[in-house]
Amino acid sequence: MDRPGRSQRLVAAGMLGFLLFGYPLMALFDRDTLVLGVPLLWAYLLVAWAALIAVAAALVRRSR
Amino acid sequence: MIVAVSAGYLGLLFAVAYYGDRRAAVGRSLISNGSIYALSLAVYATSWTFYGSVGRAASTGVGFLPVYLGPTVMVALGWFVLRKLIRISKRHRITSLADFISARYGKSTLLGGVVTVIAVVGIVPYIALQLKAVSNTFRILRRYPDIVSTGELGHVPLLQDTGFYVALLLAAFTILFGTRHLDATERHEGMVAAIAFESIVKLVAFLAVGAFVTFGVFAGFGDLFGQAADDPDIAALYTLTPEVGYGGWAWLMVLSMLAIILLPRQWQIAVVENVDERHLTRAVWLFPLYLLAINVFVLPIALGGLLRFGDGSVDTDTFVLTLPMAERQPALALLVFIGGLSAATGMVIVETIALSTMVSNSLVMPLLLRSRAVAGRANLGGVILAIRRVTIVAVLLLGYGYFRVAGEGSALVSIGLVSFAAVAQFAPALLGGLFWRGGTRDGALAGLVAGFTVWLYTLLLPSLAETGWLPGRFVEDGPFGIALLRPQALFGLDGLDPISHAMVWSALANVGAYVGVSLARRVDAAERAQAALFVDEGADAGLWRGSASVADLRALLERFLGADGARAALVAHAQGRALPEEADAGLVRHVETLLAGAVGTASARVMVASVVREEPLGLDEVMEILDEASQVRAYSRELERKSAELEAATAGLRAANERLTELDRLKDDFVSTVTHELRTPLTSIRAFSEILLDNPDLDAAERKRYLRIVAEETERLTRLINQVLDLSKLESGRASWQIGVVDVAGVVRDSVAETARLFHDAGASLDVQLPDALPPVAADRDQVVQVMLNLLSNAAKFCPPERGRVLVGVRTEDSVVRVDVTDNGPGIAAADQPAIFEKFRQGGDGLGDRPRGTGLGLAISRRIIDHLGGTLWVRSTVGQGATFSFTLPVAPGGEEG
Repeated sequence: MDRPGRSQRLVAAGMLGFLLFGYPLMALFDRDTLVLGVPLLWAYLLVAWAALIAVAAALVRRSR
Repeated sequence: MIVAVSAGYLGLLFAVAYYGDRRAAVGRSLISNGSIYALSLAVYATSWTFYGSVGRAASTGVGFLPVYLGPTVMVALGWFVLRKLIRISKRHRITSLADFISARYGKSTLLGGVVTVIAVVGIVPYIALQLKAVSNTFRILRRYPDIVSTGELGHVPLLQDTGFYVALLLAAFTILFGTRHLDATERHEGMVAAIAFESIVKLVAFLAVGAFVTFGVFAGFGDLFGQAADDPDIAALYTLTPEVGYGGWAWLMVLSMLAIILLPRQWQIAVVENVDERHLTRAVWLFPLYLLAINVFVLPIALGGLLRFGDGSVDTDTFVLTLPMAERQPALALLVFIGGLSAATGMVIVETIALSTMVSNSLVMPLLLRSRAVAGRANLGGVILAIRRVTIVAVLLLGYGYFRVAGEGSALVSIGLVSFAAVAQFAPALLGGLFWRGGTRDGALAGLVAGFTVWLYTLLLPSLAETGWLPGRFVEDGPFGIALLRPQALFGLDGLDPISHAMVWSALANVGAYVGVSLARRVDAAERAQAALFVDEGADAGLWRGSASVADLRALLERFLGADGARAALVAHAQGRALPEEADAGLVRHVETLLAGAVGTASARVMVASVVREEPLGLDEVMEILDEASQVRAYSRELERKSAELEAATAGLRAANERLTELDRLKDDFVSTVTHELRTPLTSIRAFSEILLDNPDLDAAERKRYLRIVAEETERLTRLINQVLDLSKLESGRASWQIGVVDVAGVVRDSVAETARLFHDAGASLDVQLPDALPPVAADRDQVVQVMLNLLSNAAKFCPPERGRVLVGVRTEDSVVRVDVTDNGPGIAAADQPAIFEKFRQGGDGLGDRPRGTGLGLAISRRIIDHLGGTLWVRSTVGQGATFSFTLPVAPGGEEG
């Protein structure tokens, strides 16, 4: 019922999340600057988070 | 007003739960879809999220986020883990985390009990946190329009404390919807519906206040962050503060990743209440999306609060509520309060249900089952429900008690994280149990106890010390002033925040003990079987042996599920077939699984064992089974060997058979040849005799010639018959041998003399070379003479007419005397050489020619020489004659003689 790839793809997505939300990628955005009026780190985390959710959603949708 | 709205809200919750149960009862489940599942998972967001995140953001900036990023990563990374948990739990009717761990490690009651105790101890502060949040926000809201900090609220008597009533009300709700009846699946549809509803309420409330602060109080994100950036203290929150650091951040991620599975309420919702594992796929993105939504406004609200109440007069944990109050928005403030209430109640309801299942199934029932009085009672279902109800009230009161005596001081988040760290102790035993077959009960027990002890020492004791229950010096200087044992800098490890510090040490102790003890001890049979079931997620191992009567099992089921339930369960299992009197292993297991849903796997095992004449599968039996297996292997190896031998024997037989067939053919040939050989002279004899008989007036010369032919042919016939007789005697070993000392030179001379006539007739010359002295040989003289005669007559026969030259040489070689008879005949082709020693084989094609011998001479000669211990062979090249040679052994003592 599941394509074999699905759980592996999700694991890969999870690992991507671990990368995005950890040292050193996060440190690149850990600057005291405002981008479009909002703090860079805060914006990065929210955008990366949303992107990760979108990836996960796409993975489970496509392999349905 | 507040009380009325709160009561109304809780009433609505009751209604939703009731509706959910009704729908479930008529089979149209309200919660059977992925979105509801994802929303109910959002029970993860408690009042800690609702109020506490803002408080943490106000001091650490984005430091609150790992707690929500972790679950996002985990539902993707651990999706297959969750699915495995759900499948195993469904198959074995496992209804709690304690049950799962106990079941994995050989249905150990002790392990289940330990997990339960850890869960209760770890979760009570968390429940206290929820009650504290409700109680404090209620009292703050009641002071509207004044805004007070929690510190100013002071102490209220027990009976005037909202928290107390909320606790009681929640106990009532939980009992009503969580322990209505005993069900083997232990699912509570109404409760889940209510939780999903609450998730919507708290999200709406939080988004409302977030939007209000951002766009109402300030003019959007730009304005808010711009204003905050002007204050260096606040602007420091824009980056990862040193308080958190990347180490602390990573630990928080890991902790929350584990918590999303291991918190009893998350387990209850994600695993136990899961209707269909396919709902997971929606939860993979919808649940993180929910968390993202509820977190977007956390930092803006925190910054707004800091800007608005810059003087620190207001507790940061209450910004969510106090900001609308300060802006004179009573309706919004009320909505916020309801949102916070829903966050707190959702958590408390699910958590207490989960804990009550654990306590009743893994702690109390195993103890009760030991006492005969209870074990003998007819209806245990009621007892279990009573235990659960009492547990729910007890846990809530414990939580409330903790809040009253210890929870006043700490920030919301720090209490929550302490609970996270407690349940994280389950991770090695659970995840190890899922994926590592070698994990054992003792290992799990050692790991849990070690990790929990470290947790107690490094996290719980310091947090108690903070409230003044323990002397503060205990934390600052270490017990008895031993600096090395300071709970927050154990063995001198400082520089970490308390959570990271505790996680480092407890993970080390837990994993170390789990792996170490697991590897050190042998595993017993039942445990190994369970391990295989969980790790391989496969069918039952079939290691059960025993028998039970169906009547006994029915009686057992009736005590828990009632008469109707028991009948229905058995009928369902029989699937239309008549129930046998003796239950088979499948039925026993089925009953055990059904009971496991009601009383937990460990207790179910005990109950079933009481009626089943189970022959416990001890190490001996397992060894026996293994022995059988190895014997089978040995047998098969033996079989292989045998079959190889058989093949060899078959090959031998086939060869023998071929030889026999060949021999048979040779015999047939021999018979037909002999017959043919006999008939030829007989025909001549008969023909000439008849001529003589029929023509009496034949002249004398003619008659004499015919008579000579008859005589010759008769002689030939006699010779042939003699030779055949000789051969058959030789072959059958019946020949009589007179072995004596034989002078080869004499034999040669006699034979030559005897055949001189033949050579003379053939016009061939015959030279004999005899050495002066020859040692005597041991042989039968007559036989050797026959060999010599054969060879000489052959040589004479095959010599070319008139030009024949035959040479006979005799010499001594080592311990044999060798005789060579060389002719200058046509020679024998190499391919024919072996054949000429066979019976009736002659050199050349033989066809057309009249045979020049009987064809038995060489065959007889070879047998004679073989028998005398010598060798007879031929060397020849076509066209250059042939040399027949034989050797005879020198007689003992006859050498040099």
